[in-house]
Order: sequence, then C-alpha cells, then structure tokens
Amino acid sequence: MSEIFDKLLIRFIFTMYICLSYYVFKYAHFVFYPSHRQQILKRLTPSVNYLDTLTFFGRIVGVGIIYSALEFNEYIGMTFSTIHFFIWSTIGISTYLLTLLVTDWVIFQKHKFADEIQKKKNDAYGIISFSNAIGVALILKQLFLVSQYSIIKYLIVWFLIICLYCASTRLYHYLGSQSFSKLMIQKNGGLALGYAGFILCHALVLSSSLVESPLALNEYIVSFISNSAIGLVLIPVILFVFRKVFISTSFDHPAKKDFGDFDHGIYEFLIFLFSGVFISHLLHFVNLNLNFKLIALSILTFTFIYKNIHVFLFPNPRSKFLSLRFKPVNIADLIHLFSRFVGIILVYSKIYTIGSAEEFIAWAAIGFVLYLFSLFISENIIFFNFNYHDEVFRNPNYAYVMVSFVNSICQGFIISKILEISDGSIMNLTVFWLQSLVIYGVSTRLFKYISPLSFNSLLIQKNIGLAIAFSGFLLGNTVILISALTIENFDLVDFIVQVLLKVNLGILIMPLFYYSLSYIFKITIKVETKSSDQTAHLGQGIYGCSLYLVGAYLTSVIVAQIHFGTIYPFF
Amino acid sequence: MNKLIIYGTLLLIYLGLSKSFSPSEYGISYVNSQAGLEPLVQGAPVSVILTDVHSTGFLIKTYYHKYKIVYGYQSYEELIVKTSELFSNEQRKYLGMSVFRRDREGFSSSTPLPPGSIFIGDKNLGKWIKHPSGERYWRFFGAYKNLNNYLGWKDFKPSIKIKNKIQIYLEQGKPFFGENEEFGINGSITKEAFSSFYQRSNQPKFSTAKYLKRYFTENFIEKRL
Repeated sequence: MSEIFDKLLIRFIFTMYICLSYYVFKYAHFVFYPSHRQQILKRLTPSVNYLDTLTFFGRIVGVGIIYSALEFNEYIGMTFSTIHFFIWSTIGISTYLLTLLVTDWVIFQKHKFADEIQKKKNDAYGIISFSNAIGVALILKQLFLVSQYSIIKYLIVWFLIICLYCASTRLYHYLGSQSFSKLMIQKNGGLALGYAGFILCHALVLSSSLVESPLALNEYIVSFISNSAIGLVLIPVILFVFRKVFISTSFDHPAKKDFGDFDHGIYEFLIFLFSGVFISHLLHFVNLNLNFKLIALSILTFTFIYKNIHVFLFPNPRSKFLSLRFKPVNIADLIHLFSRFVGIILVYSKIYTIGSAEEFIAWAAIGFVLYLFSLFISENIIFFNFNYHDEVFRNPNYAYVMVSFVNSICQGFIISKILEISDGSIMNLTVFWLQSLVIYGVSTRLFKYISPLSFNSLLIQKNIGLAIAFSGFLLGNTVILISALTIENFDLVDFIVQVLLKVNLGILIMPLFYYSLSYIFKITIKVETKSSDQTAHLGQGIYGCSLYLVGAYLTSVIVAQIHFGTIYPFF
Repeated sequence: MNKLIIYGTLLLIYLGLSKSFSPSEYGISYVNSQAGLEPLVQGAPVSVILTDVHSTGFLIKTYYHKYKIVYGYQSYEELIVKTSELFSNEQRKYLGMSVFRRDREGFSSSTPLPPGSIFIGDKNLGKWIKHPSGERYWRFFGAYKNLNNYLGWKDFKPSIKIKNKIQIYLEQGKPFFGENEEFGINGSITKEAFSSFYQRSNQPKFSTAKYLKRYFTENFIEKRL
C-alpha cells in the first residue's frame, strides 16, 4: 500500500510542479508581449472581449500541447527528473513564445494586437492568432519528440522549420481564394477560418516531416527538407482534386445556391484541414517505410464509401447516389460530411502492425465499421434530443454541427488507438471498443458538473459558446481516455482493470489542474453586460474549452508519462 | 461539499483498486518476521539465504528482501518479498547468511548461520574428507557439487570444528557469522558472492556539479544522433 501512496504522492507533486511552471509562463508571456499586459496584470473579461480570451488561451493550449511531449522518469530520482523537466519546459516555453513572436510578425505585419483585438475587436485576427498558436505548438511538440533531448539538433531543426513555416504562411494568395489583407480589413471571421485551416494544414505537414531518426545531422536535415518539400507540393494537388472533382462549390438547395463569405471560409477551412491531415498521415507512413499507397487508397476508398452512406442515411430529394461529386445542401451538411472524412483518416493513423495487403484491408474495413457504429452510438447519447434533418437541413444549427464535428474527430482518435492496442486480435478489439465506448459515453453526460452552461437549452438556441465549451470537453475526455489506453497489453483482464484505474486517476488529477489553472488565469465574469448572450457565452465557452483541454493534456502527462520503473533492474 | 465527498470516494476507489490489482502486488508476499518465511518455503532439506536488501519510493519507502532458496535435491529458486522498515534494518546485517532452514525431519529454525549450514554433515549429500593437516573438511558428492556455487561458498571449506560451532550457536539461538566473520554484511565471502548489494551501495556520492556537467555534456554538447 505504501508503494501506491508514494506513487500517488509523486503524481500530486508533479501536478503542482507543472501548475507552477504555468505560473511562470504567465509572466514569461508578459516579457515577450508587453502589449498584452492587460491579459496578465488585469483579469480578462471574456464576456466583454472574447477575442482577447481566444488569442491568450490559444497560447495556453499550445503550451499544454508542448508539455504533453515531456516525460518524468521517477526512477532516475525526483530531483534529476524535476531538473530535466524544468530545463526542457523552459526551452519549450521560450522557443514557443519566440516562434509566436516571429510568426505573428510574419503573418500580421502591420496589424497590431492592441489595435485589432482590444480596439477594433477583429474576429479575423483572433481566429488566425489562435490557429497559429495551435499550429506552432503542434510543430514544437513533434520537434521535442524527435530532437532526443539534443539542444543542437533542436535549435537547428527549429530554425529550419520556422523558416519554412513562415514562408508557407505567405502562400495563401496562391492556394486560397481570398487575399489575406481583404479578410483582415473586412474583419470577416468566416473568411479567416479559411486562413486558419491553411495555417493548420501547413503546420501538420511540416510537423509530420519531422521523424525520429538515427541519421547524422546533415543527412537528417536533407531528409527533413525533402519530406517537407514533398508534403508542401502535395497540398495544392489535393486541393485541386477536391475543388475540381469531389466537392461542388455550389449548394443543392432551391433557395440558396451560391456560397456566401462565411460558407466560403468554412469550405476552405475544411478542405485545408482534410488535406493537412491526409498528407501528414501519408508522410508519416512514408517515414515508417510502410505501404503508403495502399493506405492512401484505403482512405480514399472508405471516404468514397462513406460519402455514399451519407447520401443514403441523410437523403435529400436531389442527392445522387454513387456520383463522384458531392453537392451539399448547405454548409452545415458539408461540415458534417468532412468531419467523417477527417475521422476516417485518423482511424488509419496508427495501423503499424499489419503484415500483408489483404490483412490491412480487412482491418481497415473493421476499423471503418467500428467507427460508424461508434459515431452512431455516441451521437445518440449526446444528441438524444436532436434530429439531424431538423438541425442541418431545415434550420442549420452550427452549434450542433460543431459538436458533431468534434465528436467525429474524437471517435477517429479513439478507434485508431484501439486498433493499435488490440494487436491483431478481434477479441481484444471487441472488448476494448466496448470499454472505451462505455467510458466515453458516460463521460459525455458529466458536462453539467464542469460547466455552468446548460447543454440542451443552449444547443436549442444554437449557442456557439456552448458548442466550443462542449467541444473542448469532448476533446479533453478523449485525450485522457487515450492516455489511459496507452499501456502494455499482456493480459486482457489486467488491461481492462488498468485502463479503469488510469481513467479514475485522470478524474482525480484533472480537477487539480482545472482549478489551479482557473486560479492562475483568473477571469472577470460580468453578469450584466451590454453584449448579447451569444457573445457573452462565446467568451465563457472559449475559456472553459481551453482550460479543460489544457487540463486534459497535462493530466495525460501525469497519467501516462511518469515512468516509475520497477524493482527488477535492481534485483 | 458534495464535490469533496465525490472526490474522496473516487480517491478511495482508486487506492482500493490499485491495491487489489497492482501488478507489483501479485505474487509478492509481505514478510515482517523470520517466521513469515516458513509458509513460503516448501520442501526439505532447504536453506534460505538473504541475498539482497532494497528500498524504493520517494517519501514513503517500500522495503524488499531477496532470498535464495537452495534445496538439497534440486536447483535453487529466488524469492522477493516486501517487508517492514524495522525488519529490513534488523535483517540487513545478516546479508549472505542462511536466515531460515528446514531439515529432513521437518524441523525448521531461523537463527542466522552461514549459508547451507543445514547441508553440512548430511551424509546423503556429501562426506567429510581428511586433510593432510589432520583436519576433516566437508565436501559434497559429485552429483551435488553445484551446491557450492548455489550457496556462494567460494573458498569456504567447512570443517568439523565449524560444524560443531554452528550446532552450539543454533542451540543457543545466536547468530554465527563464521570463524573469521566471513558472512554477514561485512563478511568477505558475502561481498564476493552476493556483490549486487555492494555495487549499488558503493556508487559514488552524488555531486550536483558533476551531475550538471554530465547532464549538459550529454544533452547539449554531444549530438546524440
């Protein structure tokens, strides 16, 4: 029992240590961004200016993403482990803030934070800044993983990748349909989504070009540059194919046929996101010397199959079965379809142990079927009060669509993890799938304990703030569930118990992070504001989503990345 | 208040489940006295030697003992048990010694004695050989010659004189460390035969300066590619 107490105590100590490092980050951010002092020295007021919350908490989520790459090794000693974490977290925070400083300067140039966010409340600036913070964090996380704790390798590759990333952000004019200046001047959040997707797409491609390799530094750099060049060249190819062949740029609706600005922004965001995820996964498989052509073919085949299933399950009078080109009824329909496409790619992201092509296709089909069942069950749990036709076709509810989008992605991650750990056994796969589905299903019903926002009543009101908060909640739960599933599978019963224990541990650690971070990044809640309810809830939703997601990332470090070792090396 | 109650309940569930299902709990018995070894050791004749002592944990330590169970007619086994701090500190000085034994008749004793004392004089396993000096020394038969290695005797050659001393100490219930204190934590034979404990204990003292120097050399200067 003493051993269990000791381990729990160590986890609590590391939890407090990470919270302390967030406290340091708060002031480090002020050093790098003196113009953001209001966010540090005074409390944020999300109900008044949600964009301020969006930009700042984008960075907080980013730090969480970077921290999720770090590990504690208790068996080398608490002091050593803490020093190690301190050094690498300091490097992470410094390079992250420095990278944001550079990339913000390259992207926004003459547009200043104080003018755009605090005075003009420019939606476009907030959305792009948020996506840039997440994109940079994804790159740095991968850089942490591949640098093998060598600062020389880290700095050289960091310099290269940031140059490539900055250069790629200037290419929007060629790949997107809008100019960056136009969307910034118009303050159009919808159009800005297109640019956000563009940034995330490049970040995903560049981060997947980084791979752990025993190569010497010069050879590694050549390999990285060639991988990223292939990835960057593939982006316009995939975009062209999507725009010209697969997805129509007009609606299949009698009253509204043409895309508006908002629709266009969402459309761009979706195809950029799909291309980014698709190419990054292909590059990943190329790096692993796996049959990437087979994987690409499987993804595209199952995407096509899903498109037809979608037409079959959610028919409209003019939908065409088996046609290659999909014509959405409205943008909500397109978001719904793309969420499944992205989910399907994620399902195949971790199938490494497949021997032959036939075996891979069999497992890919099983994964696809499980994914569809998971979606069906989880959506019935979450949206038991809502109907697809009402919320999407008749009267588009973007809050509903957003939650559905995030749920599809979460299910993609979970099925991918289950396929990885089931290790080619149908029995394991069935048991793990059922277990994870139960845990996920139960977790979705706990939202009322975390957030003051009422799910059903606000979703009926199409409240985007609620949708953002609930999306963060779902993503956070998925992160914790996946970290709980990250254990060696020696025995089925033992594995199931260990997963339950880790989930229980996650529930114990999560509130510590959540309340500590709420204390560190305090906000002012103004009850009576001039803003509408939608805007007030938007800020609250962003705040809740960010805190929960960061808490979940950090919980995953405590649950899965503290290595205690065993007595056996000594005995 | 309700949240605190739920949190406390979850904490208790976690601790309870961890205790019941933790892999480290499987197959590792808790022994806090020499009598506790008896049910864990089967067969006879058998000699149980304490070969290693170890503790893990940051603030709340867990103590482990490693025993070598040497049987007369079969190969040896190793046994790891958890123990209390008090018992671990008590037993530490008997490292490399037989802390439990059972003879053919099933009588067991736990007075710390040189390893394999129970086998010395057992006519089924060996015989006394007369040395030119006139002293008689114990030697195992060819079929049981591996017992020498299993017991970690190295150069130890038990004589009748030692056998008699062992008998006296056993009857008095006093630990016997060998004629020249070859056994026990400071014994020369123990240091040679069960060296893993000493290797771990004799690690150089921690120096922050050296550690930081090595840390920075390994992580920041050498390219680990």
